[in-house]
Amino acid sequence: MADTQRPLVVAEGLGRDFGDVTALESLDLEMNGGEAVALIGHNGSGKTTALSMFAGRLEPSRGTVHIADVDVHRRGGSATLRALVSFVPDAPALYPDLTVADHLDLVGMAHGVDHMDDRTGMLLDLFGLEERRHLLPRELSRGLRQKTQLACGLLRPYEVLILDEPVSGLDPPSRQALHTLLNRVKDEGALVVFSTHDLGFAEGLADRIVVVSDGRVAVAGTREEVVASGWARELGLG
Amino acid sequence: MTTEHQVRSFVRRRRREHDRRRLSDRLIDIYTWLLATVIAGIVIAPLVKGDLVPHPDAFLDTLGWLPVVLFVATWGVLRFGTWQGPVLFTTPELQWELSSPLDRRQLVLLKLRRASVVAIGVGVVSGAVVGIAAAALLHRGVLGLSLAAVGAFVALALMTMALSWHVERSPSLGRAVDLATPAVAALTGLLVVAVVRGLETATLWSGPWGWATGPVLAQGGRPVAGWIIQAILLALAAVAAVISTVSTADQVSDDELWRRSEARSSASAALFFGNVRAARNIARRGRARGRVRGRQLRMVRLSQPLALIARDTLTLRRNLGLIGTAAAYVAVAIVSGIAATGRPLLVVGVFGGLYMAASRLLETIRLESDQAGAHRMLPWPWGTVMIMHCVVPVVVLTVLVWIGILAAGVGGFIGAAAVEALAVVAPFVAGALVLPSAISASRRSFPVEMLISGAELGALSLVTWLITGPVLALIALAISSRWILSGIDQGITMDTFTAIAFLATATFAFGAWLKSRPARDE
Repeated sequence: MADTQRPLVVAEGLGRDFGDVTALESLDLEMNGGEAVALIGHNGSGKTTALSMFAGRLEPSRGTVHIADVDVHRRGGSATLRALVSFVPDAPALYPDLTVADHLDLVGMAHGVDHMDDRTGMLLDLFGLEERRHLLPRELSRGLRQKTQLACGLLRPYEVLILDEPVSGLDPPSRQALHTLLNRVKDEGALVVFSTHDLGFAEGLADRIVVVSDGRVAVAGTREEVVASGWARELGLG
Repeated sequence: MTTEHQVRSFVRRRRREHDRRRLSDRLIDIYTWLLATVIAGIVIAPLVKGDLVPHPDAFLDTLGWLPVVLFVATWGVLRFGTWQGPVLFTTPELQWELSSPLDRRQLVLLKLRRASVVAIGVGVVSGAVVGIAAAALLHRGVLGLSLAAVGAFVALALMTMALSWHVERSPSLGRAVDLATPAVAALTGLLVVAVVRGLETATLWSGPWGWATGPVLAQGGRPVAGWIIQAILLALAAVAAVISTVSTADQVSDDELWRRSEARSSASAALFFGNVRAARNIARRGRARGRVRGRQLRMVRLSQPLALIARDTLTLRRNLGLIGTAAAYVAVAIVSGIAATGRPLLVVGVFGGLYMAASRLLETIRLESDQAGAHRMLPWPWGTVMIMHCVVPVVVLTVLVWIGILAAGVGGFIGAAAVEALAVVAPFVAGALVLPSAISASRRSFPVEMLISGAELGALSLVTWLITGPVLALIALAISSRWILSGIDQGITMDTFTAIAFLATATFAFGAWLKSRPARDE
């Protein structure tokens, strides 16, 4: 896993417009391996846009993102970078004709995962998917599809794990299991960046909380610093 | 390390395992294709016998239109590249395969290879059809003509596919293609003029579409200077274009691929349910890249009963193109009306122009119908909302018609008395056109399942679904035109008032029907 001292992700002046709407004005952020960073904010504040740009899925209108000193938005991307970053969006993107197990096999194969059976078994068990491993996405509920997607995102190797609204649609036991797993991921030295409206989940997991408001970082720091800034009351935190 | 091919073959293998289609479904597919081929053969057979065109030269002249057809087709494929393109990944493919360390270039090349096969297939089939038909009609060797047509069409299709890829991967090229549309329309007009005036050299050397036609015409017996050079140029262009796709296979952003993938799944879903309008809107949004014109315009605050008038006015102000198109249709109607003396067929232009103008102005009704349930935000029932949405279109159409009539009067095409009579009757004509058009616009797209489940009745429903509005408007206008036109040169007469009374009654009846129709979500 990554060296925890150097900034693993560096976003400088990151912004994105959709036509004449500015989704993200300007975001400056440095994040290190071994920490968990929560992006919180109201709807439309720019959290998903920022995460999508960290993952290279969305081109910035301005600014840059470097992960392990590699420009994320270099044309055509980089296989090295793709090996570093695992992004799980909020909307499930599953093959309609592949089962839960097929998805895990495919992702494991595409990423050359070692000891795949062990890891797959652990994740299926963790998310309560073991007995549903042979079901197709259309046979799964929204929450189970989200769990399948999370399992795929967690199966592959990564140094940066980006999760957009990971707990939306999850039941409390799965939420707790994910919390435990992400803490372990963090302890192993990976960076976990996630957005959420579940402030309890954010408080329990995140080392730093970044409040995004109107496309800018309103405040970033520990839970106590966010509380002291006055944003906590605004967002119903603490 | 796993290769891209291994991953793709894994996905294909698992797909086959989970494919729940039965053997009978596959046999039905094969039967349908065979049946279509037999029917096509039956249609083409008389052509092959050479019975249809007694004068072979006439067919050569018809082939002279090929540059126009190929140019428009080429442009269509490039436009397709602005929101889709030859490389289309599904969202799961993007999420799980392109985000992996697999060689992205190879994954894109796999898609480009598939697109090339499709392009070659299209070229072979269309070339073979043109070649065989031309050989039969011109009584010339089928081999030479077919080879020329197939070779030319395959080269053009490959070149176009490759260019479409460049449009797909490059946002700036995509924008250029969007912006060039008016220029391309003008160029198409010039090509048409060139063909009509027999300027064959100009059309054949106007670009790759002309180069693709030269060899076909030459094999058909028309002397075409430099057709071999054209064939070489076309082949070189195709090869260069294909090579350029290979060298740029990794030059596409995830952003573009995701946007296209999401647009494709939405458009496919819309088309699956037969909702052509929704699919068209998705394509339009895909091209527009999020920009909404006239966003800074604000709704004029009016009193409660006039709220929808304020809303409809705002929509038209934001979409001035709708008024422009309606004005163009009104112009067609006026010109057709002026030229209709002695040419009764042009009356179709009068009715068609006016009806299309009314239809264009009813965008808000379509928007209302697209969003089932949205009308519940309003304090009025659905039928009343529909009627209210007709007010602005009636007023705008009336004004457009007034401008048209006045221009025709000023130009001396119609007399002052006729201008007066037509101006008085215009608002009532507008009402009798807008209300039936609103009946059509307030319906959702035809439910395709009715065609399958309802058999003949389903087909009949499709016809009535499509023609109810135009037929109602046509009946009203056809009957009232008798009074409108009788003694029109004497200005406003009793017949004018009879026409007004009839049109007002018809409009009231159409309005009552529109008001009684159930909402989409009921």
